[in-house]
Amino acid sequence: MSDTSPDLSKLSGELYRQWEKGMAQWWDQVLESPAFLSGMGQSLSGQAQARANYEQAVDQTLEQLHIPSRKDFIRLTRVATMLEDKLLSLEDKLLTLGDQLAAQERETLLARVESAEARIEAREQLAALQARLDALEGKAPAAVSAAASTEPAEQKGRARRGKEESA
Amino acid sequence: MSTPLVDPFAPFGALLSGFEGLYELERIRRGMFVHATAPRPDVGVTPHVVVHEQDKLKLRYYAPKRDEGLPPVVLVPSLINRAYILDLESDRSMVASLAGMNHPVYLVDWGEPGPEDADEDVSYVVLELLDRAVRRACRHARAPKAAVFGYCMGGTLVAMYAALRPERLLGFATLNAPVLFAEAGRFREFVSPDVVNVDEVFPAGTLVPTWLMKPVFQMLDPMGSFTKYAAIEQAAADPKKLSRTMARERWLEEHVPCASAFCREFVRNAYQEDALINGRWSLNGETVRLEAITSPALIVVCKRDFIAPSRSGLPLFDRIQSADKELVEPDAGHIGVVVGATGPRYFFPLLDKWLRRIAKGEPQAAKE
Repeated sequence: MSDTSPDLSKLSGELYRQWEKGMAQWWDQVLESPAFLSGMGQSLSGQAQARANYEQAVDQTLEQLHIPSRKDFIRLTRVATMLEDKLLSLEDKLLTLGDQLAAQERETLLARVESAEARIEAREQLAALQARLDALEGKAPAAVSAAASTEPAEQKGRARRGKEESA
Repeated sequence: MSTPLVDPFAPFGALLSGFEGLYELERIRRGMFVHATAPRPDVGVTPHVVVHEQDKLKLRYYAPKRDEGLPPVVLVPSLINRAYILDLESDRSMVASLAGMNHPVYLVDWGEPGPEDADEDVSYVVLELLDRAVRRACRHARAPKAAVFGYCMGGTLVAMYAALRPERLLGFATLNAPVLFAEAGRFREFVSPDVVNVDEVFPAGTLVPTWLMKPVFQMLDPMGSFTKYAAIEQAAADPKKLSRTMARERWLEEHVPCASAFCREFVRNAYQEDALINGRWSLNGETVRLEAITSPALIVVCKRDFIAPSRSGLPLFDRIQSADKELVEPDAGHIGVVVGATGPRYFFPLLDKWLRRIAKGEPQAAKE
């Protein structure tokens, strides 16, 4: 209908926009009206009750037929969920314990490393002392012989000085 | 992605092309056809490994591109959404972007509860599932603490977690997370105590089905739910655009059923009694006090959010006692900030910058 006059086209467009605006206002009024809200509340309650009643009726029928009902499956699944919760709590505790043990082990290991290091250091110091002692022991005989060789000369010197003083 | 089916009524649509108004309606009809027939793209395709499982929860790990030694980031989506909303499209995926910025990313996938989970309440979700997921993420990353990010209801849960279990928190960020539910917009009116009797609507031992949630969300913006088909029709001309639009549709269509115990507690305490902001919400006997939060915090609320209006998220910033806290209010919508162009252009770099700052323990920049 491309030959439609532009005025008619615009008019229909304007009508549409007015309709859209009017509908938006109408919805606002409806959705805020106590009658609608009260009806909606009652409808929601009714639907929920109907669903609950239906589920209950199905459960009762299945129970009478000795067929496991939804309730039975729910009970079983809840047990499984509770078990899972307990397992997760245990896992949490184990993980915390693991962390604590790891921390303790780290501390113990550090203490052992420190003590080993201290022992190594002490051993090194002992070895150094031993070496010095050995060195001193090695030097001792030479010192004794050196001392012995220097003693007569000192005695001669002392005698000479005595003579000179008396003269 | 393959194209939608050929619309058998499309030739008749040409007859209406001269009438602007009728043509608009024809576009919406065509958009509905495209919506019904276009295949949905694959989502949640970023490579990852599951590092922890509990009940229906899976903790998905996305390795950083390069190891910079950054602390782990745990992402927490809403319980009624699929986890892939944070990994919707490969080029705009939040998990892929953060991992690409070298953060070790852990995504909490709450999974789909079965009837056996109907009695799981908020305490179980926050103190059992979320707490263990954060601890396992820290262990996996060999880090003492993690940064936790929560989106929408996930953000509300993260705020509760930050108040009760701050030990593992390096900091937390929330996006569009309501805490003042009196300001939670139209949804608050839908579930007000005059309208909804939570014990009747969420009876014990049941799940809240997705077919019940969908119309409620559509009623938040009824005309938007109708006129969006015109946008879908427009997108159909470009396969890339259509793929993006359909990925978003998956977000909107694929909700997750919710345990009635959780819904009962959340709707009553949050929406009907505003117990969180008033410090009257207890989880396993521990009262949640937002004032007790001292961890570094980044609070992001979007100005154009009508699902969780910014007014409902802003009080979190005022209430927490963190010395290091930032408030950002981008001009974006609830979904667009994550899946739109705002994500990679603005929001993900913002989060990256904040994460790096708190990781280094750098002080907050002085406000201008």
